[in-house]
Amino acid sequence: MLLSMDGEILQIIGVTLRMSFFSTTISCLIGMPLGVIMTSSSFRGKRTIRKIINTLMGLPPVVAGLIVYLLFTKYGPLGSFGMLFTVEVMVVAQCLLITPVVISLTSGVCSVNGKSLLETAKGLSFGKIKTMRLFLSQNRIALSSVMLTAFGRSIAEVGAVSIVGGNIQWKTRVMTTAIMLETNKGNFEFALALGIVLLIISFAVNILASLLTREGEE
Amino acid sequence: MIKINSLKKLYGDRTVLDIPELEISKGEHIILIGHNGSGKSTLLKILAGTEKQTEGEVLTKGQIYYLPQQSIPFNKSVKSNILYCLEGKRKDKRELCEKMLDAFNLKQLESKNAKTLSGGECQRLALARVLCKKGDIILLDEPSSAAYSKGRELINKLISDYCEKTGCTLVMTTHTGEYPKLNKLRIIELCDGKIISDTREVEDYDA
Amino acid sequence: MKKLLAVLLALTMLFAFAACGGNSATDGNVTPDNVPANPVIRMSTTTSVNDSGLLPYLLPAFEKATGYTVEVQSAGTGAAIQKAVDGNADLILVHSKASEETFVNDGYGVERIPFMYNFFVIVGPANDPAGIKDGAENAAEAFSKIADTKSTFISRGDESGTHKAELKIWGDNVPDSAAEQWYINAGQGMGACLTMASEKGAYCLTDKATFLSNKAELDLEIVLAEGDDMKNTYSLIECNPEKLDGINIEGAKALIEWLTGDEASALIAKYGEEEYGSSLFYLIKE
Repeated sequence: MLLSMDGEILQIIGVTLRMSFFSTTISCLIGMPLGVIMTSSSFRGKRTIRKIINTLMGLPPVVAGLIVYLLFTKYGPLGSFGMLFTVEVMVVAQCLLITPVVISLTSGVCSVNGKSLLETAKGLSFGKIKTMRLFLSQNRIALSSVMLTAFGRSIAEVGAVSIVGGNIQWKTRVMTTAIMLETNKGNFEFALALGIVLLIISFAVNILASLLTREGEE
Repeated sequence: MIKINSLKKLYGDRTVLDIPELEISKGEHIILIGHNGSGKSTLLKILAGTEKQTEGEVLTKGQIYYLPQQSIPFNKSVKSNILYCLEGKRKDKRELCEKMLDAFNLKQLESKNAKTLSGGECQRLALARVLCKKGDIILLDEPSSAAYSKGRELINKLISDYCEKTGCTLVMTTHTGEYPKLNKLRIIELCDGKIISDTREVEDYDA
Repeated sequence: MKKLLAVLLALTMLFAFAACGGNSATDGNVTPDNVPANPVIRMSTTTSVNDSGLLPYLLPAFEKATGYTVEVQSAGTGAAIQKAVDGNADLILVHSKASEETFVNDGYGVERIPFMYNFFVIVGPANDPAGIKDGAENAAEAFSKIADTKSTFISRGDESGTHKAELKIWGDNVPDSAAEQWYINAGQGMGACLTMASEKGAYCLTDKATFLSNKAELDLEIVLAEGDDMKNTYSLIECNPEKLDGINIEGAKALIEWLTGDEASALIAKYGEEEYGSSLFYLIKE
């Protein structure tokens, strides 16, 4: 059954991976340094910011989708970019969802031994950027699982991407929205088959990541 | 040079440090002694700037390097640990790193991950990371606590060599009663956050 | 942030209230003199009849008169029928003749009862780049103008009744969404497709009821209404208790009887007149 449609399925998998790759990369590039700062620096309003981040962690995907939709809609503040219903804007919505998760998890990971590491770095009078690099490299194994969590959330998310992406065939249709569509069509078996493909992809990414981190440990 | 004025440090309402006045001049070598909880480490932390005093003034002049009691080994090879702390041209860094590895008796461990070292090895590496740099003030918190007597001798010798070569100001804590043999030695004893004795060893002062 | 939190809290409370309200309404329905043996009727229907507000408008009267409770599940026609095939519905109300006939011929449905109809409309941007307003008599002509001018067109692409009707109008000339940039296969419900058409300044085939109930938020207008190939017939089919287990056939029959009866007819004829100035659904008189 899956083989009969493989051209389109491969294209959908391609869009899904492209979207998840960029969402994960961008939210980690933004979220990990911020997560380190949340642990390593003390500044005014830190507690409030932590609370806000924890709240945003529970942001329902459809709400994130709605916010990004309203930003990029034709008469919205960013409407002039004409980016609605593109993969790019799906990435934007996902970053809004995933970055708080990355910040929070990173700061949790870095707070283990964080105080001693900070003293060590300060004692060697490392600059801010060097200290940040140290925190990231010191926790790289735990952080790679943060990255996997981000990827998992991105690839499995449906609410935000269907609102801002529009599930357009050959363009913005991803695995999850395709599953939703097939369910709405009543093709429950086919939807399930797509779900299994999605699971296999997640599993493969997990294995790949654990191989990479094992290599890193040696 | 270090100057302290009516310094107080409180944890909650418990005073852990209370030093009305202390002046340490350039090139002096201070050994801080005192039992656990007497405030030695807290004083070093405040001098290093990793902790803030509750009251008072602390003035320091020059580049400070500080070895905390729990210096974390970086998750890299021993060699990379030292290289990571050095700055400058690649070739110079390599050369200096080799010297440090030899001097600190770490050469045979150079490609091992620092996380897998024993306590004593780890401490030598941590000291090497600090002493590979040229500082004006060196703060060392129990630099030889994990070493056996032979290791302690080596560490104390490395510290005194460094101080003689650079002419730096040294403040270090110890509770073993052993400390580097140095000129301008000054032993300060703390008890419950207060200085209870402050003696300059004078026999070699003129040498 | 606080505002957002407040909104979130308010929403949570609203849901809680809605849940409570639902329960008490069910309790209130059980009046001692007319309790049917099996009081729950499961109806599987398309989004167009439910989202346009027709069922929420009609069913309370039925429930009050008979003591039944109708659970409405709405989805695209494909899924609506599939749910019935899986034994999760007592009757269906859909609008795709071919699928309905298959459903009955396969033995899942008892009989197809054409019940009411309305018209599909073609909506598009006000400037009408394909020139449909003045140049097309029916949907087929309009579609060929859209294809000729390569004007953007949003297709449901979800095998719903509306999508099947659209495909029927294209006939042999269904555009290939992989090759034709202007033909967008959205794979979403009617509301989402209309929103997308509004955003992209595109044409779209829609049922009139859904369009009118969403019109306020859309930058679209009707460019063609009531062409001879745009009739949209809804049918009621009760599920076959001989083929499927656990069907509430009495309930299904009672609901069909009521919907095709005089009281419902009067209500349907009035529906939409006040709000939109014209009826949205027309009954099929036998």
